[in-house]
Amino acid sequence: MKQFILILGLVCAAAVYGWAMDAQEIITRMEENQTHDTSRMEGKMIIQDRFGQRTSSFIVWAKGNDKTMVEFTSSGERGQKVLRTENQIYLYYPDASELIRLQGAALRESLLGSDVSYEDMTGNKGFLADYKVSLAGEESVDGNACYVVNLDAISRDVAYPKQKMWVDKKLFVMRKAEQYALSGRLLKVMDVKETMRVDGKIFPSDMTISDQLKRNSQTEFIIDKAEIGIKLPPGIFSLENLSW
Amino acid sequence: MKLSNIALRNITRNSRRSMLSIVAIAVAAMSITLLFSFLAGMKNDLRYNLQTYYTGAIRVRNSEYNRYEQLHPMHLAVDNASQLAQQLASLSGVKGVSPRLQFPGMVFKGEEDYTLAGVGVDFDRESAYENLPDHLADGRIPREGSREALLGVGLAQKIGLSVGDTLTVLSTTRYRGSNAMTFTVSGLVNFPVGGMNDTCMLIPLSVAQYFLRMGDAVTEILLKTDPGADLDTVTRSVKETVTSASQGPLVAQNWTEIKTSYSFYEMANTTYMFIALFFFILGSTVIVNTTMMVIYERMKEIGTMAALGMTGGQLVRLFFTEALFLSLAGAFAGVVAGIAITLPLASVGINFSNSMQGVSMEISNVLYPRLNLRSTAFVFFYAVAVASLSSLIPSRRVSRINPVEALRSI
Repeated sequence: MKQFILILGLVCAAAVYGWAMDAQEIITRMEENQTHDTSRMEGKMIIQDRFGQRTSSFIVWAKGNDKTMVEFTSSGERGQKVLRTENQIYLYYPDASELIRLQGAALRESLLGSDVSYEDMTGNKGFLADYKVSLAGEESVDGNACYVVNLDAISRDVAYPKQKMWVDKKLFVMRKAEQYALSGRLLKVMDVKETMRVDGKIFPSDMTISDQLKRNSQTEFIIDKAEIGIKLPPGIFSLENLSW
Repeated sequence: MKLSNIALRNITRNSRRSMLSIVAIAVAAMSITLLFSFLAGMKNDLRYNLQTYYTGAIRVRNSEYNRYEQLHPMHLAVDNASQLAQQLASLSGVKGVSPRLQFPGMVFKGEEDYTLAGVGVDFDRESAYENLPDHLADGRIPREGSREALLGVGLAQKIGLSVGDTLTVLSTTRYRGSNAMTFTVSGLVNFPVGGMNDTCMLIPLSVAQYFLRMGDAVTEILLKTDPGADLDTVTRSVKETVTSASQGPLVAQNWTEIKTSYSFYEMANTTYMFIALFFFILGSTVIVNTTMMVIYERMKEIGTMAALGMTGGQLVRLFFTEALFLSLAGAFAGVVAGIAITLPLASVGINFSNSMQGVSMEISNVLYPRLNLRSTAFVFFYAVAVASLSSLIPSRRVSRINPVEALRSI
């Protein structure tokens, strides 16, 4: 009986603790899970549009929130690279003798015709630096209890002025997100189908993104292999090494 | 005395008044001759530009391409293009074949980005197809297989490039992915169509096919027909060739079947016919006015003629004959003046470069009015008919004149 009361007490405490969590803490814990000091991931992008489906595979190297390097390995775009350093996006194409630096309106261009824009890859300070967050309640997403967090931009340097995020109450991983324009128009919807646990960190490993402004369009990101906390090749995020 | 002699005498009796009527008809006829010559020149220009740069006389595309054209569906292509182009070139009535690979492009330079309309062309075929060397403003045609580009002068100016400079173009591949390639500007081209100068970049077809991962595919094959060839007959044989080819679902359309601004032009042509009619009616009001004045001024004379036995019908015919002579003289003078103005303009041309800036129509910056014998003859007879028939309105009054009252009124 004592044991039952103890367990009940712990469950209640956890529930109270859960309710007591504020939006900032939820986002912080989610970012701790999803942001890694260093990482290398292999995966693929399955892009579905009105003309059919195609797959592009890639390797991503990342260092914290600041730096990301994507190299495409599928035959159609083999050797093409996207480098993000702070808020700069550079594109490398083996057939071009110069790098393309994207800025301004060009950042809204789609990455390989997917539902992800280059602008989605920018922003490196974390959600709490760019958004005012507030807890909107709790909802279940695919049977997973989630916190619903509203994010309202406090910075003008963000791609989406408003976001709504469903964060798993147990795993502190994003389960769903909706991204809105300032007018309130829904622009993109993200749905996490699978998560992956590596070295104690849980992050989405299968996620669909659909651009609501495109008809019959959806992009699925699948991470097949992930390594966290590894030593990255020196200079991997430098412009000089972009074309190696 | 014959009616025509009386009419001639009446015309010469008040030469100033008759001259006014003649000048009014002449101005109307001259304006319409000029308008029709200008329209004929515009029509000819539009047809040439459409057949050379846009639709060909006959165009072969993937049957689905037109539906999604705005999205640049590179995968909806014409495969085994070189073999098909060869087959089409051997057809009777086909004068030239131009396989083309159209693609959208973006150029990033400094803080700015620019969009362009890229076209991969076979320069050997293309030079014959559209007299490309004649339009070269600087440099030379790109060498086959080289990463060289020919830029429209407006586009080069916009990006700040000249011959020898390089530009990196980002585009969409057949797999709907992206690719970028760096090209050296080998030459600048001054297309007759201003809109093309501001957007167009031509590169060798084989390079474009590699750049966009197209294999031996193109987005379209354009055909020009022999001047004497019957377009429908050639279109039929092209359709048969295309149907029997194994390159997938292809469609061949002749340029009249393709929705272009030419159909708007045809529509506008009808409107211009109405404008011409109003011009002549306006000119004819002078004749109506003159005839009315004559009737009132010559009431005594009319009364005398009626008293001498001239019937109402004969009086109407007299005034109609007078108007007919005035119309003939006016229409002739107007048409001759119109021809005299058109002929030098037809060789010099009228430059609309400034007013055509930003206009995306397939019309050339310099238009050459074109004298058309049929439309000029039409203007002449049209002017004579409208102006002389309009005299019947006041002349009807003459037929009802009572000779006694007419003589008393003086």
